[in-house]
Amino acid sequence: MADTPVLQLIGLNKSFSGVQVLKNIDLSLVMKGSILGLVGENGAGKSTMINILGGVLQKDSGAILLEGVPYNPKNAKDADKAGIALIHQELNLFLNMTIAENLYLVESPGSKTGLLSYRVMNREAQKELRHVGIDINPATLVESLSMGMRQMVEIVKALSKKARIVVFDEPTTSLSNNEKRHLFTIIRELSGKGISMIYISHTLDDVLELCDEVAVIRDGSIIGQSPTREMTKSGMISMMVGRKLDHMFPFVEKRPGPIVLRVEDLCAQKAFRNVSFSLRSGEILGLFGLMGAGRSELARAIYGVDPVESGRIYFKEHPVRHPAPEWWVENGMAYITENRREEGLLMPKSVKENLVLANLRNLRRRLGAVDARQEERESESVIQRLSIKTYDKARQTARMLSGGNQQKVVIGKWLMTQPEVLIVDEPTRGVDVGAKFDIYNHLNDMAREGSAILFISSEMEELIGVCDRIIVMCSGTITGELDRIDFDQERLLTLAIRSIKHEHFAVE
Amino acid sequence: MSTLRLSRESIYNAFYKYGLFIVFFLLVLIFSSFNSNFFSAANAVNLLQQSASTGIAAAGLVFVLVSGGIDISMGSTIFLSSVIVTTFANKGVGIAGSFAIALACGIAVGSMNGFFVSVLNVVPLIVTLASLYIVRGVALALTGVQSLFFFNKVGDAVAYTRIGGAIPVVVVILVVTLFLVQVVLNRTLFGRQLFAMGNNRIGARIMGIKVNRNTFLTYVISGALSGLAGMVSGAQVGAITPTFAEGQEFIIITSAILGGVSLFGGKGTAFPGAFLGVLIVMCIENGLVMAGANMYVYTIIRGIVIFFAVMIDCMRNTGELR
Repeated sequence: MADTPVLQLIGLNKSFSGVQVLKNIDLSLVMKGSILGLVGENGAGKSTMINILGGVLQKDSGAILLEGVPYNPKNAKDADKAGIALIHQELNLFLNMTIAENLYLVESPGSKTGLLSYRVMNREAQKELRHVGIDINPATLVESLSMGMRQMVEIVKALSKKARIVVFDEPTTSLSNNEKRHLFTIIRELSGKGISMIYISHTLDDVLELCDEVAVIRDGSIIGQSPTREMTKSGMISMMVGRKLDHMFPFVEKRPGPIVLRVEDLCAQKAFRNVSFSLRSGEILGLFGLMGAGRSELARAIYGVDPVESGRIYFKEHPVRHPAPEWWVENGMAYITENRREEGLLMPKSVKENLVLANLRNLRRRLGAVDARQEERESESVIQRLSIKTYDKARQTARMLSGGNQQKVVIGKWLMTQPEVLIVDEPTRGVDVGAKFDIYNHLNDMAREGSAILFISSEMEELIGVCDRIIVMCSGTITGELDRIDFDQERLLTLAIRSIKHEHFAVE
Repeated sequence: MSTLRLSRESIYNAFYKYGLFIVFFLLVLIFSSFNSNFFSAANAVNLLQQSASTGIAAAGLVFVLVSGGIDISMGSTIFLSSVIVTTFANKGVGIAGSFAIALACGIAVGSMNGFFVSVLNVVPLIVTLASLYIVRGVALALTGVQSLFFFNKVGDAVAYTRIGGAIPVVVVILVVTLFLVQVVLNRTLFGRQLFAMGNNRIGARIMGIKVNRNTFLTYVISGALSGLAGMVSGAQVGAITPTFAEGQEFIIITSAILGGVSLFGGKGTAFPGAFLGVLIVMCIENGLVMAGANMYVYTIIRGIVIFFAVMIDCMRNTGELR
């Protein structure tokens, strides 16, 4: 019996409207309590695969064996019964309810009479929470919890259903570093208790650190599965992408021109104070800082979404008295926000329509009619340049794209407008390595063509790799500026935590 | 700075929590100053009696709203129910039979709404807008566009019986309904699942909650309680004219929203929430009558109340919690 794998997928196939998304997937999770890393580009088929496991989607053909027994979930309840729990990237919690209520929504302890007992629910919830070492009142509204804590609640929910296999889909994207450490500790504890896990992530270092085995999926097929000790980061990347990426960060020499955007002593009551910097055309300026340092708030204030209290903004040396999004768009600034998915996409519209949306002004011909041929040409070129995976750009809706490809569409949309100033906030978060590479290349191209780019990120490596200069923010003030020759991870981090005495990471 | 935000937040919270009670209290004060009879036990009972029909229907609507839907067919359901109950009662059907007919009538309309919304996935607003017209049309056909009169044993029993010589039976029906509704919403899995659905419908489905079945049931309940409300108000008014309960759905919806039940789903209570909303709306109407206000004032004030109710709801729904 020792050899019967905990979970085995044999020849799994799945198509959506004629497009085969999974092709003969073979995968096995052998040991109880082992952690299998699953890596692959956006749209490679990871989400489809785990949704089949969780009963959300049905497979077309193939078999799934759970400890040798065929398993064929028709819905989420079947998966629950079989002991498989999915922890989705977008957490499945109800913010308007308490932790205990979230835990016991489908079945509830102590409800023999048909009426719920909050006393029993809270007591049981407390027990479950303590199991993973969390001491929090189960009557707390989920809305008031940090992202990390919400993730823990999701895990507790899985465990309360006696899960044997827990699948994590990108669990760390919205966690602070501390929260991530806590998550990893808990994952290891679960593994010690014999619970097997599948861990999906784009953060390859995490996968290498955490997992016992790694499987790489590309274009719907498993390319390879082997123990982690036989894997390297670059090996995984080339397996995922199918080509070798020589330089993860394609830095190119640029010739910075005149100053396009200058900010002096900008203040906003809660978010930042006395911020000054300038941005030249043809340069990529990095803005680094930890969560809560005020980076995004600064960008929003410059763009005119949030109010500015005092200070001056100059655009091509002309003062901008009342910054407003309409004005900036008119004058050539594009701003790609952190919440791209919510703020930047028309979900039920086609990929093409989404892409041309910001650029309609330039596609206008006589009588204001849109030039369909140019629309076609330009959207196609963006799809090529960012390698957006879509089977039919005119018919596939944005909703049907995988997460990473949705992000590429939003970015592509603004890139088409060839802005003079581009502010990008975390453009590569949740995006796979191949797509990151495409995005960096594109930013470089734009800078070379004369755009001034403000690149906000909390990933030091990408800023070091791509930027000409980096300014660092901490608790609302600029604590330093480094030129390319002085780039150094340690110096950046020191500047970023300069004024933080106690560890305090803002929650959201 | 953080203490400042904290205190502001706690003021907001206090306002959201107790604001309605304060508004209600202020209204009572204002109207009492216009007419000394306003603040009296007799008028309090009167107010509750007037609130019974709307309160019962609003309690039913809470199910639909909390789970993220809307039902604007309630006025017509009230009309249909009162027409059918009156017809049967005039032919000699007893009290128990009349109640059964009222409920059955509402359940029939509710099932129709529920079927189209949950099985065929048609937008609730459109489904119930269609029933608003169809159901009223059917009821008008039944009456031949004539007024009916609910002056018989059943009508009198419902409208005039006072338990212990003091508490009108309609008030008892209202209180029992509110109590049961609140228990189902708060103390059953079904009730809690509605809150989950209203917050995140897709998430609820993924979790294995029977979203379609639950949605269907919310419309059935909303219909059933509309039917009951039709019987109550029919008996109270006595004369069922062709325009009976026309536009009533908006008074019901306004009351519920005013009482903190969110149009966006996932939030609200039947008691005290929706009930307090109904009391405030009725209090305004009652007070205006006693203050001898002009007819047009009612309409204007009704509009203002709707506006504020929805505005407050929208303000509460900015941010993450939807």
